[in-house]
Amino acid sequence: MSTVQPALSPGGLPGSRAVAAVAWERLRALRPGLTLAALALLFILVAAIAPSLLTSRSPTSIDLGATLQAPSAHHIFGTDQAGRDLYARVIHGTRQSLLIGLGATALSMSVAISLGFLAGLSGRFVDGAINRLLEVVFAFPVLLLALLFVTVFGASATTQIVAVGIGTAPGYARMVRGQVLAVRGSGYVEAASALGHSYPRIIRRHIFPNAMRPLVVVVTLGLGQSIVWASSLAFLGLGVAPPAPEWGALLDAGRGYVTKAWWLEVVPGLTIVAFALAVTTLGRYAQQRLEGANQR
Amino acid sequence: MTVELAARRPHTSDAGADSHGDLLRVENLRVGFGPPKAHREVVKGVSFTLAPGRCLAIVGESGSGKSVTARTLVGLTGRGSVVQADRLELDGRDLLGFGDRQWRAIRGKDVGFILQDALVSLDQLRPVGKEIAEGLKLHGAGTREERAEKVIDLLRQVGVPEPELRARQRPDELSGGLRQRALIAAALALDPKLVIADEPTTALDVTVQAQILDLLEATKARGKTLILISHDLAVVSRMADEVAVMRDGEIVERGDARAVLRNPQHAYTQALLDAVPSAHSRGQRLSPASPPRVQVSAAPTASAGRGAGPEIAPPVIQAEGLTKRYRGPDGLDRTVVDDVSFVLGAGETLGVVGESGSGKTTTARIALALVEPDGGQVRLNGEAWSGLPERQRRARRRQITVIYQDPLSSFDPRWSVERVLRDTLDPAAYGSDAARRQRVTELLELVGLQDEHRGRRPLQLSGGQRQRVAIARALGPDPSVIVCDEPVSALDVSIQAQVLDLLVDLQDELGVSYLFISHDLGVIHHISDRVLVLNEGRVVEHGDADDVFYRPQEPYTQRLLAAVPLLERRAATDPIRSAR
Repeated sequence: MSTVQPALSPGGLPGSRAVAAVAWERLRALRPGLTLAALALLFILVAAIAPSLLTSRSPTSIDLGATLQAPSAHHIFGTDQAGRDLYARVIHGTRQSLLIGLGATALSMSVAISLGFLAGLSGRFVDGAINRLLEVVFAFPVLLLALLFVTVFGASATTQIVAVGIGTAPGYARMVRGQVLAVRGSGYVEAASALGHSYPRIIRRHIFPNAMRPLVVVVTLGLGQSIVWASSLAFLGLGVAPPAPEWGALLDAGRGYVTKAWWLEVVPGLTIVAFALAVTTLGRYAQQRLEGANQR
Repeated sequence: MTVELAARRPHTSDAGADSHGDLLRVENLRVGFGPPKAHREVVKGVSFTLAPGRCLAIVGESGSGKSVTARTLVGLTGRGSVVQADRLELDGRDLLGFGDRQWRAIRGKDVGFILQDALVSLDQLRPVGKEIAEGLKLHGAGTREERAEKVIDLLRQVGVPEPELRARQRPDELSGGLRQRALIAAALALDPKLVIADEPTTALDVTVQAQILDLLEATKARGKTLILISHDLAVVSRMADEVAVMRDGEIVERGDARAVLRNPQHAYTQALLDAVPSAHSRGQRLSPASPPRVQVSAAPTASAGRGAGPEIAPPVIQAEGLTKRYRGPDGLDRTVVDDVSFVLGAGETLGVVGESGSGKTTTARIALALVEPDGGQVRLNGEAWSGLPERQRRARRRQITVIYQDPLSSFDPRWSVERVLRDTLDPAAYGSDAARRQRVTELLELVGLQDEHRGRRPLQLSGGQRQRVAIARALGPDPSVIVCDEPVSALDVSIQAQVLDLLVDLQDELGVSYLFISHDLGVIHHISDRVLVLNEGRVVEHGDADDVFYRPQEPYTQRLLAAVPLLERRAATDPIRSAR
């Protein structure tokens, strides 16, 4: 909104507004959301790599004297029906959850990049065929597609990865294709062909790196999404077999006790949300930085 | 110095009107953007007055603050802007301290605003008639039927043929000229006293521009007060009673249009006027002083200077009967290039001029062998060029290079200037890293860039610098011909002058030929030895530049030339006008 005002004494803005504006700028400069997201992600990474640094308890040691205990100083996230410490289970489940998320994202991206580039760079026929295929797969909801995989191949971490990876690939593939087409029609690709560079060289030096640029951000956003999908599968009992700790599986395990022990659902649920939120926040930040630099 | 005084004390100036009867009074207007800490002032104390029925032109290059000044008058300076002034009065009303609601009451009703780009400014999804009626509706004028009638009437007034039909069409169904007319109709709908036109003809072809200027003149003749924002001095000289020349947020010179344009007092105004390319400037420098350049002995391909005809050296490009058809969305073939033939000699410049859609760019792309002609053929340096398999052509592509209108989009955004230039070098000729580095240094020197620019990305360069890099890239392979596709159209007039001077110097030094494409007849006449006039894909006229411009044979060329507004101070002696 523009402010129109009579010329004041040299100094411009009225005092109180200036102070408020400066305070707001300071607060914005700190970017609390971003800092929090970075810290959360750091914590999750430590939990995945070296869970024993964060808890000395075993995630599977049963203590029948302390079943379904509410969060307390002793068990900060409470215990489950077998007296296992929920905090230890969440921490130790991180690696598995993260691997499933990363695996699914990696698979999804490889499929998407191969198909997207193939479609974007080939002639009308191949492009059309790939597009139809993608549209068919795209028409199925991700969860339905994943369920189909799990029923055919049986529940395991690998199936979870494949199911989520294939399910989310078409969306990314279409995006990659769009990027390839945009870069392929760009001025600098034409300039390179006018200089007499060969097509493979142009693909390698211009089309590939430029089409991949926006994907960096999409990968971070997709990672959070994949974990949510994988957890959904696990929640439906189609993930890793209990009692191995995994966030989605924890959700599933706590389902039966939700009226008696709310923490069994809420804590793993919030963990998944926190992770997805942290990754997404950082992804958006990266997006702003990268695309901001791309504008004039 | 006197200029500064005039800007500060407008009431003593020669504006030629009683200051009490002024429609608009602006004193010490300052507009800035950004938070207090990073506050950036873009208008720094501008003062002017405008009497009813007069036309004031605010002239300046990009970033001079001319558009922001105009937008202040309708309260559209945008987010985070701070507007201050000692006085800001429209028709005796104080505009300072106006809120949104008050601005809305004024916009359209008291001040009509015409924006530059009609395609962006009009709602794509609504018929233009509805768009024009919107203003009437907001200010509560008449019933629905009365408004519809008024819209047709307005469209007729601004010279839109078949207004009943056009009112029902969406902007994308109209031509650029019709869209601009619709926008003017919308601005005039509520009969405002003051009409502000921000670069109203910049995106238009010359013949359309002439029509729009006629229309604005007619508007003024009906008693409207006009503020015209433009970078084009020729347009200004045709329309304005008064001129204010802006630079870096300040008015450097202000006064009677005729006086300022004929006898500029300020050095900047003088430089702006000198920078305009035309018939007069041929063979002369447009920019005051080019940066010193080192003479580089970079393999001159021909010693022939400007004006060497094709009979002396073998032709660089020989195009015969070029034809290209594209299938339109309606399934019908459209012939974009129709039997175009031309010859470009060594060290010579062939100007290709035409309006949008005349086939200029397609012709250029055929010459570059980026598009295969459906008929006819191109020979490059005496050998077959079009119709060959790409593999055979690739090695010879170094003989013909290109400079685009928008250099930014023609550079890979990730690449530094150094990398862009190295990419152009022939690995056979520049084997070692040291040799490549040396050549990049040479190229930078040739186009007047410094060593510090090596590591920059295209985004970190100014428009003029980018175009210099584009020229360096075109020179990299030592070509015998450079295709220049509107190379100066996106540049400010003073930068355009520098780039044109540079192109002329390079031709003198290296003997390279140019196939120079432009819609700007002044630029074409300035730089070309011979000229090809295209219209709807066909060659209308072809010949020596002076012959075509001074003695045009074809009615189309004559119409085109007549449509070009000329600078007043030159108009009296300009042979283009006096020849007819």
